[in-house]
Amino acid sequence: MSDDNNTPNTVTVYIDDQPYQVSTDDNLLAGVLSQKLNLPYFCWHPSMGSVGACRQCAVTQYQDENDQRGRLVMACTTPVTDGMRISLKDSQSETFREQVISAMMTNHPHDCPVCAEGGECHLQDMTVMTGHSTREYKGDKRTFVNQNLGEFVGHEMNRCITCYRCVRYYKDYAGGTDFGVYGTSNKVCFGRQEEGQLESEFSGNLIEVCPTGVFTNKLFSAHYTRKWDLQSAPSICSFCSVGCNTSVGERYGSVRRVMNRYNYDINGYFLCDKGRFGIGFVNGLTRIRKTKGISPQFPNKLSRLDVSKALVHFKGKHFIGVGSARASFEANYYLQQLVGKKQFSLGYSHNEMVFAEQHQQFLKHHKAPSLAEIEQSDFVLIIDEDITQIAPRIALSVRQALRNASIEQAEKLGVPSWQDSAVRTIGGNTLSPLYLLQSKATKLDDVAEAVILQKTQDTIELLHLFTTLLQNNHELSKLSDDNVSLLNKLLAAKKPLIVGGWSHQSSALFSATIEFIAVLSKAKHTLRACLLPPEANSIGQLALMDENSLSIEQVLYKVMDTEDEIDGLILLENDFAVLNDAQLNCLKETDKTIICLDHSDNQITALADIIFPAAPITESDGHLVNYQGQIQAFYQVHPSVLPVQESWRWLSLIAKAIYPKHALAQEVDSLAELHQLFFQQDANWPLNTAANANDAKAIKAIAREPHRASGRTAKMANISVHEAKVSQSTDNYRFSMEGGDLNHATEMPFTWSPGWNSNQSIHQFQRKVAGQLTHQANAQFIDFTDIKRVIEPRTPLSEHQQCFYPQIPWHRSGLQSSLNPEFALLHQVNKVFMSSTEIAKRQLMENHWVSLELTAACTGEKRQYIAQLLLDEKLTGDLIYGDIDQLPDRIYSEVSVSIASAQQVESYQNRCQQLRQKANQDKALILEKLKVQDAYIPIRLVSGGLDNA
Amino acid sequence: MEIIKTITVHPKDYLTSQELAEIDHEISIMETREAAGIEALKVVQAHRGWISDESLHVIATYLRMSSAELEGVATFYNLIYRQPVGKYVIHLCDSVSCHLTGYQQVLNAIVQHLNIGYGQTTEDNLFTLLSNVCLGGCDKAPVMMIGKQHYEHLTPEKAVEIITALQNQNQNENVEVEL
Ligand code: SF4
Ligand code: SF4
Ligand code: FES
Ligand code: FES
Repeated sequence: MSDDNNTPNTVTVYIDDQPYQVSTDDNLLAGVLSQKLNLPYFCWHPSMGSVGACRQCAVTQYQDENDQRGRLVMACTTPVTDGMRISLKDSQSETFREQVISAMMTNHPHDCPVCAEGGECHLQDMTVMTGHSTREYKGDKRTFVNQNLGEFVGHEMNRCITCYRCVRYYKDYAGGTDFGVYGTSNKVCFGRQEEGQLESEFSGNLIEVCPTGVFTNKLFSAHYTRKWDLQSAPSICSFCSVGCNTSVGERYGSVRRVMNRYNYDINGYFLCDKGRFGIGFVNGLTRIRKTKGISPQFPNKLSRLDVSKALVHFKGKHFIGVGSARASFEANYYLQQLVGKKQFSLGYSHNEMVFAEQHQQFLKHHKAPSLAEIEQSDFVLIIDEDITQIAPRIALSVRQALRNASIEQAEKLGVPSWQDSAVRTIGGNTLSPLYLLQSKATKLDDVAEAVILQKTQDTIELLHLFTTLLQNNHELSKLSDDNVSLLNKLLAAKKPLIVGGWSHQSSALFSATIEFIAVLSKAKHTLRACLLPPEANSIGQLALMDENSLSIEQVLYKVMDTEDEIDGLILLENDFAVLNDAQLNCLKETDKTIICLDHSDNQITALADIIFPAAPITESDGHLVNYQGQIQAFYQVHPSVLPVQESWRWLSLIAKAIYPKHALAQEVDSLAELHQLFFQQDANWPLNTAANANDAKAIKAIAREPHRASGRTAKMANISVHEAKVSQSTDNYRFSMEGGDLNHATEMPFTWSPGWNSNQSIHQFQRKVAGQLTHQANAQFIDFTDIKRVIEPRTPLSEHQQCFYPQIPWHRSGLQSSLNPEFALLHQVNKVFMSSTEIAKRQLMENHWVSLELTAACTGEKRQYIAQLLLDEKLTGDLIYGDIDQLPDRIYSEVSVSIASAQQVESYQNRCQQLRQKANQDKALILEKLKVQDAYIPIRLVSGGLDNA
Repeated sequence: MEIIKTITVHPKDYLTSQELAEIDHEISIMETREAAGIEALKVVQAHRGWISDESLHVIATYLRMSSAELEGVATFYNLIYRQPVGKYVIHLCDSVSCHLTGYQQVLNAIVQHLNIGYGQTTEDNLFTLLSNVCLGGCDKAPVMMIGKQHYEHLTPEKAVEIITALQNQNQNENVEVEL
């Protein structure tokens, strides 16, 4: 599909005798919908193209203006041609479409009242649209046995209308292997071969792809609200650096679910499961809801005065501020300004600082491609990153890029890219080349042209060799066949893409990658490269980094040093996961003050003297900076319950108490005010919301609730029979059903349009189907050109020490993941993979239990694990990798492996059992608490900070 | 020392050498390995009477395809049996022409005679009754198929006669039919 939105390829099409300008790049159905006309459909999907399976999109096509009869055609499989005449309103096609629904309905259970899809169901919408309003079928309906598909996706097969979207999405689009279609004729069902957890990292999209209630969100269903009753806000996923746009919905003060929020350049129509199902962390059992170390004058009503009283004795004291890559861009900046650049740490270790700096320099010269651009690539090289786990949505885009070879083949035969089944038939198994240089098996292996499995050290050497070859044009004799074809294909490609990242914590790998890209991009101007940092705001952190920034080691050194005049630490949403045991002990022993701002308990809040409960992303306004340096806004979904408030609000109170003379020590009541304050002090502050304020005023603030939300007056009746005033928000969205038109929002809290209740309504807000949003704001990027910094090179950790490569699955990274009990349940069993030679050398046996002792390179700490030993036939030499639960992400320099005793295995299995039990209990407990909470809805008049009612 | 039980059996430990040879032959004449799916299922069914879950997994592993995909193939074709079936599988056509020419009465007679419904097998493991959409003998409807034999122009009496004949034949042979 074309990436050009103002495509010149438009022709005139007469729809019911009215002329329309329609693009020839897409099919007739997409063309009709792009005109914002209503035409029902099921099997076509804007990013999956057409198969013509459901026959719902029939229209009548006429030969010319004299043709009175016309003939039925399926709009989704019909190309757009100049002067074509069609009708949507003629009785022939209208009757046909009504009859299609009527046939589908013979087997549909009509169970909308108990169906989680109800109220946002594409099938409901299409049924109404075709005018099929009476039930005539009296016979039996076919029934299926449903499957348990694991933690996230519900299955209710009887509701299926056999459109095939699910299997086309799961298998063809997302590359999943554990999903299929079974049976024939009237008894076709969709699901796994046998019950069990769906294995794809993208399974949640089934919920949005399926036009009916077959696949639903289990977590949402457990604590359910109809879409029309949800209060939603535009948000950004806080789980990785991609920055997918999300729409988060809540009711009665608790978050219910995440849906995809369309963004042409980034996530398009799809999210990953982490982003969709991980939001439960905001409802976690360990949320911090009270301050520590501050005694309020009136219990249960902490005031600003209480805070300043508690902090007053710190006035003029020296604090080190430690930011984090999961806190907002604003909060990090604020803290840095308050403590001063020389007392500020980004939360990076020594080692991380080295490549963080390289990354910063890199971004000056290389604009990272958007996901839409990644999908255009015709060659992909991934350098030692398991992107499916660390930036899942990008892996989904890479999978689409690999289809370009078959799309091109089809185009040569005159078959347009939207003819999905034809293109797939023509392409067969043809894929554009994907090369993986990696130290462990990954999910992309099965679509790769070559998987070069080797130690990071060898990859570094190979990259150096590539670089020298490119510079000196040496012959390629030193390279293996795979590597020669890698280079040749890379050089021959029209739009090659290279992906690297931080995962290995290796500055040598990082600089080798950058050097290679730099040299290559001279020879190849179309080269695109993206380097993936670990967290949602990692790149925002880079923007704050300069020659003064402290590493974690320096911070600890200062804390431990009795000479140093440091009085304490202010930790901004940083749980210090990078610390090893010895470093953590230093913090335990210090008598310096530790002030923490965070949303959930962790190893650092346990040590804190003062804790300020920070609002998590769903209760905050702020910005995050994604892997490209794009600054994206997120908004409060619901007001937080005081004293929980955004970190930047706490920082403004801290500023007034501890740094009263600081220019930023001012009361701020909204994010816009904060930005204005920053901008007054620092002309380089990139977010000058004052400049946009006029536009914002011109547009009425958008309502967070649909106009059909129910129970406005009743829902709080058990607290007060008076109608509560809605809380006043401090941003451009209202906590209300009333507000400006969704049509004017650049970031929509939810999508809805008359007749289109499901998320498919999005095409009513796009310039053309699958194109940019009509009111897409211009993307804003961090400008890295002004940042100066010289880090003295330090001795990096030597990669050649590394002998064990941990596989870290998406559901096991970071504090926020660990707060979801469902994620803990995804771990099956510890596994370690070796080559056959290594198994023989170590006198082990494959498929047996082993005991594994790992030694961390930095500290010499040893840890023991029990795991299954498996053979990886692709492995050679002594490279070992594995998926070990609760293994800290470190460099391991020694592995000793022995056969595990029956006793060890048993106790391991018991431990796993206990963990599973605990997770299941937590799940039940969270749900119970939420349901209790539903009965006591907090009333807040203003969603500002303390004292704002 | 404990061997992990979750690992699926190796195809070579499960399939007989004859089955393997026949499947290998099919693979050799196909463009891709997984294209041999239907034939491989037929091979194993010919030897074992039906396709068990275990057979399905093993064949999928051997053809390097997902069991979900192979299951799709297996359940698409009604001549692949995913449950144990009797010695004779009756495929009774329930499509349009047969419907118009007395299918219902034929079905009733068979059901009454054998005391089984669709998808069921008689207690003596002799007969399984399945429906089939058009056997291609519309001009001779109603039609049923048992084994490789088509029986046309059926009447209720004729259908029962055919089945009785098979029952008698088996009694005479006195074969023990086992699953
Ligand atoms: S399960 Fe949903 S997506 Fe799949 S075929 Fe049925 S209706 Fe379509
Ligand atoms: S890819 Fe990253 S940003 Fe996108 S939904 Fe997944 S975790 Fe969130
Ligand atoms: S949408 Fe056109 S046939 Fe299904
Ligand atoms: S309808 Fe029965 S054989 Fe064709």
